[in-house]
Amino acid sequence: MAVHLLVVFLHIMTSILWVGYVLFWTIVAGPIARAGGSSEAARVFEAVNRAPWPPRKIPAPFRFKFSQVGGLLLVVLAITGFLLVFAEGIGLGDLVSGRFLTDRFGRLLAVKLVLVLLLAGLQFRLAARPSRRTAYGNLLGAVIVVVLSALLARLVGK
Amino acid sequence: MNAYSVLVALHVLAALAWFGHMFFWSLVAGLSLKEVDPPETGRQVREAGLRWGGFGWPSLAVLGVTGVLMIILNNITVHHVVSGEFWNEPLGRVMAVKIVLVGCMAAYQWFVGHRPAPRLIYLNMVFAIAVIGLSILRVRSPW
Repeated sequence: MAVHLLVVFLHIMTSILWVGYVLFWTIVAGPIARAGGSSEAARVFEAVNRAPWPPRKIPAPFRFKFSQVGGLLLVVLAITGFLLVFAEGIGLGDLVSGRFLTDRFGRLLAVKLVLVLLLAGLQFRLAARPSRRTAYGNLLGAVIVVVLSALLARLVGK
Repeated sequence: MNAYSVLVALHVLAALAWFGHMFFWSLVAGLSLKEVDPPETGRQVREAGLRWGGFGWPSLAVLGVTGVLMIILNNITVHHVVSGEFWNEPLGRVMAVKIVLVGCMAAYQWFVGHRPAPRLIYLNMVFAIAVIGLSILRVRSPW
């Protein structure tokens, strides 16, 4: 039980940081594109994506580029998410064969998984070529995934 | 999707927006933007980030309204709360701690807001983590 709660906690903390990442691009993309036009916005976004995180005083092997942070958060979300799905008694075989689609939990989970795959694609684009449209699309996808997650959490164990 | 599910979704969205914005700017974006090359570009992005202010007050408003409505839909009446009956139950005790912690965070929002607070911001984040932990316990516990 304690390990399960720890995985839930890690999943939620990571999703909080990921929503922060999505909001960051949504908030800054608009005013920067409006102020300097698309070529200036592309220059600014590239400079931000190249910036290191954590800062340079942290040794290089433990440092990422800002553009990699979103992907890193999605990887942690995927690992903890699958652990939580397995804890619900849904195995890899059920996921591959589609056996998990028999109840409401399974169908909501399927929609969430498809959306998360789409979001991973958007995130990849945001890291490679950030734009206002990608940022807003990412926010819309994130809101839908969060709503689905809240509904899934209510169905856990039922 | 019933009314309670809509309230839960709104409650979770408001909390994620508030905490996500706070955690990401404090732990990731703020640190990275200091290292953007050239530094003026980092400052430009920081200023753009302040355009909407923060998510604290709007999120608190949504959290307060949805929180109270969820309590009502859980058949907890004013009588339960005023008589102290509610606060003696496990759910009531968790709610009491949560309300105190959110009150501390609202006070931070009021007195500090977006001014630099290198130490207090971490205390605020510890309160946020405690609120998240209590919320998980509330949802995953049998009571």
